Amino acid sequence: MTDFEAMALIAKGDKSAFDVIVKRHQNALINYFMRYSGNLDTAAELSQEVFLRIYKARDRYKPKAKFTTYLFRVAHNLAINELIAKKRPDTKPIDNDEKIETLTTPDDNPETGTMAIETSDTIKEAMMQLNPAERSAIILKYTQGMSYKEISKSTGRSVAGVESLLIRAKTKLKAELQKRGVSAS
Amino acid sequence: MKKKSSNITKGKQISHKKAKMLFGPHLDGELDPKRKIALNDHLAGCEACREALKQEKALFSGLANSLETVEIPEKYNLVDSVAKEIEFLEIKSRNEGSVLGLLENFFPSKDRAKLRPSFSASLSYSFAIIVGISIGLLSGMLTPDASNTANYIEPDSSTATSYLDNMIESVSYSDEESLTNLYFGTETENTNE
Repeated sequence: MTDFEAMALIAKGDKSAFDVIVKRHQNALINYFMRYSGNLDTAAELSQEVFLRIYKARDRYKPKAKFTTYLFRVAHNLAINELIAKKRPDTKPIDNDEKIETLTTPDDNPETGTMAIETSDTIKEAMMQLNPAERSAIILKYTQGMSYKEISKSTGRSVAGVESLLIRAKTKLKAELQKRGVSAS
Repeated sequence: MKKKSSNITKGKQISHKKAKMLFGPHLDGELDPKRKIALNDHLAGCEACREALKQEKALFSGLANSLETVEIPEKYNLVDSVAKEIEFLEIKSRNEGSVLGLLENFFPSKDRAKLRPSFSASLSYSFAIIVGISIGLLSGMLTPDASNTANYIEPDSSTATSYLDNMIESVSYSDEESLTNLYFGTETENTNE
């Protein structure tokens, strides 16, 4: 069952079809919010809110773009609004038992030219220095693997606007990582 | 809107600054052919920029690996909690305007997630309150009504006042002898004894 088919069933009143949507996208959504907020509990709570908003709007849903574009548009708006409501990012550290292994390469890999970044906390701290829009764009690009066009649809910016935003975000992130002793040189 | 690519003229070398601005889109695979050619032309003659690009690639490949989607622990599985929340929303919409709907207003949506585990408990409390109110109403119906309590006359203040007035009046009309008789008996009675 595709996302579109599931949404069509949900609009007709088949609640069980929504389980398919939740099961399929919860991991990506929690990852997005976890990178965004730095806290797994907050991430789960915000993800649940996204699913509920989508459920409430089931009758108005039009399959114009990919379902994930729509999903992350709701998520992006919630992330930005949540931060405005809180006035500051949620920087509560992840408990040790909840810490997720985020590093896949413990050593530098000369073959692929990939550099290992030592701890997830370093990235988290650096990410928190970005403004909400920059952070969201970086996550959509690197965690969700979206193209600039998809990010543009999820954030409501132009493709050129997304490109500028990502250039700015990467420059800032690079400087923040270098401040924390992470550099490519 | 003026496209960025139009700033780059074919055959003209771009500056180091412009070349570095293109590193990000280049590494993300988002450069259009025109800008790609311009960057490659610049890189072909600029070792410093080639080195800078290599470093940028290493840094952001590492970041991309670190930010990859990871598997979330099972305890954060949202399927059940979302289903329960939807059920809650539907009960709420059904009860809109009813007593249960009013009760629900005491629990704002932001607290719903916290309340979710004790939702059945909340329903039990609501049920208990309704039963309590019903018992109260029923016991009120069993209380004796006015027809059964007709023999009881509320003493009013005017009755009490007139009784006192009569007492005072009877005393004032008595002569001294009568008063003596009242408290000590009559001389006659004493004599008779």
